[in-house]
Amino acid sequence: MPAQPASQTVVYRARKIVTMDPNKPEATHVAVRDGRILAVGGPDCAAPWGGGALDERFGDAVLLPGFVEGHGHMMTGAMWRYVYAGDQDRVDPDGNLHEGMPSVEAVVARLKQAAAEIPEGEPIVAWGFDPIFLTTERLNCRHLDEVSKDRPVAVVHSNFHLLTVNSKALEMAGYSRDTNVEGVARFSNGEPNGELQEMAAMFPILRRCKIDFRELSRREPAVRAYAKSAMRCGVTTATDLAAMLEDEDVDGLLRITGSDDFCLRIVPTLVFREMAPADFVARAQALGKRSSDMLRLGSVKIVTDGSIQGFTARLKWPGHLGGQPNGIWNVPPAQLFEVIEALNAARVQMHIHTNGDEASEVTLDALEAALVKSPWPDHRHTLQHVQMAGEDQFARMAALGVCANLFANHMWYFGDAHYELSIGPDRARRMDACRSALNHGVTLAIHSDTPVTPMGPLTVAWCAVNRITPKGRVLGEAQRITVAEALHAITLGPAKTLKMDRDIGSIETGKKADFAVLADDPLSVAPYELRNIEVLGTVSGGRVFLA
Amino acid sequence: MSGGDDTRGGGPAPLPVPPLPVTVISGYLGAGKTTLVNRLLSEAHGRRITVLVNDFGEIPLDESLILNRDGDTLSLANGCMCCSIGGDLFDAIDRILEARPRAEHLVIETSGVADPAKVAQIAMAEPEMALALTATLVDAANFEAGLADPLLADTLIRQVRAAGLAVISKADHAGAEATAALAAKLEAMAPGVPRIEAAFGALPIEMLLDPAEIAPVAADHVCGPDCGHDPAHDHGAHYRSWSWSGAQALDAAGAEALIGAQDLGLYRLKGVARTGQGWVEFHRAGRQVSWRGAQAPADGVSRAVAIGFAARFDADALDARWRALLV
Repeated sequence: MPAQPASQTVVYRARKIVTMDPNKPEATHVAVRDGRILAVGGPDCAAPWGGGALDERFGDAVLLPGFVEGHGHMMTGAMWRYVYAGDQDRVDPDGNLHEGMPSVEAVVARLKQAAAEIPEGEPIVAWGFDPIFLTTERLNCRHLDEVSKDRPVAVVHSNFHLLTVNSKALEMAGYSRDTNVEGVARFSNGEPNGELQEMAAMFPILRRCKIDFRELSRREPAVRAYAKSAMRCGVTTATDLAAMLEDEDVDGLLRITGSDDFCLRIVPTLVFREMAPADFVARAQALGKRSSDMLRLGSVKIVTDGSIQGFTARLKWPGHLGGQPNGIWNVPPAQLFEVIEALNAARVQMHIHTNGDEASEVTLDALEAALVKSPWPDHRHTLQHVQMAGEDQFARMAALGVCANLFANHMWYFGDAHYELSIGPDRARRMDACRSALNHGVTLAIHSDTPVTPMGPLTVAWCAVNRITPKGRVLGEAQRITVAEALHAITLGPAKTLKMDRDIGSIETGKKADFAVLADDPLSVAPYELRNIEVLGTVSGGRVFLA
Repeated sequence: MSGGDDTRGGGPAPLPVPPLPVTVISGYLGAGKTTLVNRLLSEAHGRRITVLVNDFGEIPLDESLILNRDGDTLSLANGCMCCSIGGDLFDAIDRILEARPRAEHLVIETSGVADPAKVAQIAMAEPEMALALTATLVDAANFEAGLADPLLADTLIRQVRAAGLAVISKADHAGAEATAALAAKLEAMAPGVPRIEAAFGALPIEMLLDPAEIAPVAADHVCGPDCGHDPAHDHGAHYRSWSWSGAQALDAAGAEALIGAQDLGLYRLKGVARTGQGWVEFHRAGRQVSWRGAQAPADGVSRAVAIGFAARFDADALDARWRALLV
C-alpha cells in the first residue's frame, strides 16, 4: 500500500511573534500544517512533530494573529468602482495609492482628469468626500460644472448622507429654485447649490445615474475587493454586518470564499427587517446550516436606532446639545422585545446596533427579559457601537454576559463634532468607553464600521489608546486603554464576539494559521505611532498573501 | 362645486406626463395599517394599485385573489400588486417605477416607528412620483397608552404632525367619549391636521388614493347602504371641492403661497399652470406642498382642483384669492 504523503509542515521564522496566548505571549517561530497552527515557540518548536521546512520570508517582520473586523460592510469593496475624492491618502484594494485632496480645487482637478477617462455619456461619480476636513469654500454645483456641463457629476460624501452634484444632474432631477423638497440646499439667491441632504433628496440623482452601492456590493468584484482591502490592513476575518443574504447571494459567497486565492473569512449577519419573529428565526437557522470554514453564517443583526452624528440616535436625557429632537427607532421597542426573545429562545446569536444610550438601555432590558425566560449560558449577544453607554450599562452587560463592540474610530473621525455639536463634552468624554468595558469584565472589540470610516484595525487600536481628535483634544483620558489591551480588542476580543475564538484570534496550537504580517512591533513603537505601522500582508489558513 | 366661468368640464385634466401618485400610510403597531392595506388590495375599486409593505406574510389576503407569487411580489386578480420592501425602500421604489405597465397608484405602508414625513419626501423629490397624501392611523383604543410611554411618545407625535390626514381607527372599540378626547388631543398636538373617524378600516378609500377625484356629496345627501360612504362618520366631514381652468398665467410667488395657506381649510390641491417662469405642477396634501417645473399640457390650458372637508374648506375664499393671482 502506498504511503500517504506526509502533510507538509512549514516553520515560519519572524523577528517577533505576538501570540495573544497568555501561555506563550511571544515567540520567534510558528509551525503551520494543513492550514493550522501546529506549534509556536523557537526554532525547534516543530521538532516533536517531526520538524518542518524553515521559511524565512517573514524574518524581518512581526506576526500577530490575523486581525478581526467585527463590524464592517461589504459595500467597502464596491466603492472603488468610482473616483476617490477624500482628503486622506487611501490605498485601493489593488495597492494603488490615491492621494488625499486637501481642497475643493484639488477635487475638481481630479474629477476633470477622471472625466477624460470615463466613457462619454456615463456619469462622473466620486466618493469619500468630507467637507469638514476642508477649510476652503464648501463644494457646490459651480465647482462641479467646471468638470462637465453636459454629463452629470455626483460626489458622494463619506457619510453617505450627502451628495453634491453639478447643474446637469440638478436639471435631470428637475431641481430648480421652485423645488420644495427638504434637503435641497440653496445659494443665497434661492437657486439649488448642488448639495443634496439625505436619501430622499439624493434619490432622483442616484436613480438617474444608476448609482446603487448595495447592488454593487452583492457582486463578485466587490467581494474580492473587500478581501483585498482587508488583507492590506492585516484583517483575516471580517463581518458583513447587515446582509440580505438571498439564496443566490449565499451561493455566490460560498463559491468565492471557497476559492484557493481568497484571503478572507467572512461573517455575514442576516439583517432583521419588520417581519414575524418566527419567520426571521427560521431564515437565520436555515442560513446557519450553510456555514463553511471561510463563510460563517447563522448570526443576525438588528438595528435599533440611527447615528449620533446624524442626530438620529436614541438618547437619554439631556438629549442633543442643540435641542434637536430625539432620534428614531428602527424597530418599535415592543417588537424589539419580541424578536430578541424569539431569537434568544432559538439560540440565534444577535449583533444589535445601539448608538444612543436610550437604545442600549432598552436593548439591555429586552436581552435581560429574554435571558430570564430562556437562559442561554455563553450566548455572546453583542451590542454594536454602544457608543454612549455609561458605567451602569457596562455593569449590566457584564451581568448578562453581553459583549461590546465599540466604535473607537469615532474619537478621531467625529470626536470634535460630538464634543462641540451633538452631545457635548461630558458624554463625549465617555464615548466608546473601552476602559469601562474592561473594568467590568465585558468582552471588548473595537471596529471601523467600514466604509463609514476606513477599515484598519491598527488605526482603531490607535484611537482607543490615544483618544485624540483632529483638533488635538484628548477625549476622555480615563477611557484610554493600553496597546496590549487594544491589540486584544482587534483579535481575540472580536473573535469572541463572533464565537470564533476556538478557531482564530490568537496564535496557538490548533487554531487556524491566520496571521497579520507587520513591518514593526506594535508593543515596541510609541503608542502614538501605532497607526503608522506598515502592514505587509496576511496569512490566511496557511496561505500567504502579500500586499 | 364652486367654480367660475372659465371652468370647463369640472374634473381635473390629466397632467402631461403623469407622475405616479403616492399615498403614505403611517401609524404605530396595531393601528390598523394591515387591515387597510388588505382592503386596498381586495376591494373592487377599479384601479391598479401597487402597495409596498414590509412583509406581505402579515396581510390576511384572500388566497383566491392571488394570481401569481414571485419573490417579493404578489400579483392579484384585480390588477393590484403587493410588493415587500425587502432590503431597501429605495430599491423597491425604483423597481416599481421601472415596472411596465406602471401602477396607477402607489401606497407605501411604513413601519410602525417610521417618520412618514421622510417617506413622503421621496415622493416629493422624485419627478416620476407625486405625493397624494400622508395618512397616519391613530388607534383610538391604545394611542393614549403610547403617549404615556416615554420611549414612544415622540415617535407617535411626529407621525401625527407629518400627516395630511389623521385617521382615528377603532373608534368603535374606544367609545365616543374617549374618541372625542383623543380628537381634542390630536388637535392640540397637530393643529390643522384634518381628522376622520373610521370604524375598523371602513374609510372611503378614495380619501386615501386621490381625494381630489372624489365626487362631491350633495348637500341633501343621506347616506344609505349603497352610497359607499361610511355611515359611522360625522357628516360634517364630507367634502367640498373647487376647480379652475383657464388660459391666463398665474403669479408664481402668490400661487405658491396660496397653495400652502393654512387658513382655508384646504386638504388637497393639485394642478398644472403657466406662470411667468414657465409651466409648473403643484400639489398640496395636508400641509405638504410640492411645486416644480412641468411640461405644458397638449391643450395649453392651466388647471387646478382642490378639496377639503365641507365643514372647514372655504372654497369661495380660495376661488377669490386664486383669481386675484391671474395675470
